[in-house]
Amino acid sequence: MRLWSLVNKEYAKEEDIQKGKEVITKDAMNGNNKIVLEGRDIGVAYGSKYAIKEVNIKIVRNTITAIIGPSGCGKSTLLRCFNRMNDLLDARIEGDILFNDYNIYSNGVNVAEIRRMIGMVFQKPNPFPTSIYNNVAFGLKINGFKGDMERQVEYALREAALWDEVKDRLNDNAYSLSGGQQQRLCIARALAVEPEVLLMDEPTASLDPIASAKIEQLITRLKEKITIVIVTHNIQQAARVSDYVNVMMVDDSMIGRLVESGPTREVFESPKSKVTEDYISGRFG
Amino acid sequence: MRRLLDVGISRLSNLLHDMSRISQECVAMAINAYLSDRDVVQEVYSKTNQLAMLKEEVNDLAIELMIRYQPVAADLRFISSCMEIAYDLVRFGRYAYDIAQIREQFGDLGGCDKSMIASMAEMVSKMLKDSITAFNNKDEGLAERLIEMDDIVDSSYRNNLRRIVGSEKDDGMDLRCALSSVLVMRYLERIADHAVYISELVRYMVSGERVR
Repeated sequence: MRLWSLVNKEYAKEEDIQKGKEVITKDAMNGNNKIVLEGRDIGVAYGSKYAIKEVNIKIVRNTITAIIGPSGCGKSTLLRCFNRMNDLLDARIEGDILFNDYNIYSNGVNVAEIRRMIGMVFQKPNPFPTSIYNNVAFGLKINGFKGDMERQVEYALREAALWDEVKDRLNDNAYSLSGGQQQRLCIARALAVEPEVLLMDEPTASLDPIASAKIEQLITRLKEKITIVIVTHNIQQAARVSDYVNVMMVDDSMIGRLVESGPTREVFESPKSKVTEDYISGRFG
Repeated sequence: MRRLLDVGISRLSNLLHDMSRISQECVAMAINAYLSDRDVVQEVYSKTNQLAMLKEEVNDLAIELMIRYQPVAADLRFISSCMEIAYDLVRFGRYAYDIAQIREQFGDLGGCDKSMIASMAEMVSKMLKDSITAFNNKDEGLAERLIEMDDIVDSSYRNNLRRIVGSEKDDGMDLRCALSSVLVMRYLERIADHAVYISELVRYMVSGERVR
């Protein structure tokens, strides 16, 4: 019944609530609804300047979708649209973003709930200055979790492949962990509230190869339960972990565009667009 | 911008170029020797050894390029195709060696009618040359035409076989001539097949479409 709470009943219009009900029913009856997120004609402008425009994208459930492209092409901007993080940046959003067929930008949507169901992990690990345990429990507490807290924290740490390394030091400060462990802790924090989708913005950019490999292994395993959208500068990483790849480029007006989408094998073996070919082959960017 | 990978790809091209030249020499030498009843087994053998060594070099370099640069798209298709084409070029050499050995196995074949072989050999040599040209120039059109040429070679092979088998009923062809002709035709037909494999790889390299 999670989608029901997408609509903040206090402010929602009746038709939104009805729509919410339809989605719940559809989702409950058809849990394998293939497209979990869909962007239609997405545009994001900061002031009068568009960062991205006319982006159409579909994210398939229980897959890893990579978004790649050179710096400044709008990858992170696009990613932030998926859980309304751009709202915090005073950006103007155009188009529709459907989460399980429900427009997350429609009136009355509970944005906090959106961000619970569509979690996010950032480039730099950003644990809170408190214990390992509290870091994971934080999201649960603010979401009013009523279940067995210790069990849920353990669940999240296990899911993030961190439990064995921290189970004897849960009260230690999170800053005592290595960079790779801190990033997995952030993933555990996001997983604790059981999201459907996890957005990852260059999650291994600040990690060494071993720590990066652990995160890659982890997300490959996680896709059995959740859907992952990952922005990465590392083309080889996209090739290693993703099922689908979306390539973004800036046009002549320096506006980010989605130039190619497809299964990873196809995009890396036989890209359709010349700019994709040149970019992934290291001829520019 | 010339990438580090481009240096490796250029080396790979040169190796394939050398292999192409040697394999063409091998086949031409073996066919000419067969038609003029000369012994070139040792010369062809030495060239097939060179081809085998170059193929190893191609594979080593291709793997090194993959490890170092994780090529994708056209680079990946080119490198993986080079490994397969190197194998096809080795096969050209191997069939040339088989043809060269015929004289050793059957003795003097000076009295045999070799007109069927000469005509088939001409077509196959052209196919071999065209497959290599298609690879060097990344010429998809020429690669496609090789499939049509292969149909002609196959049909010629079948017709010649029928003629040899049918000759038993008439005046009867000398057994050594008949057997040696069948073997040489078979080797030529296989060379044509490998030329087609190369053409398919050329099409894959250019368009990304797998046709095999």
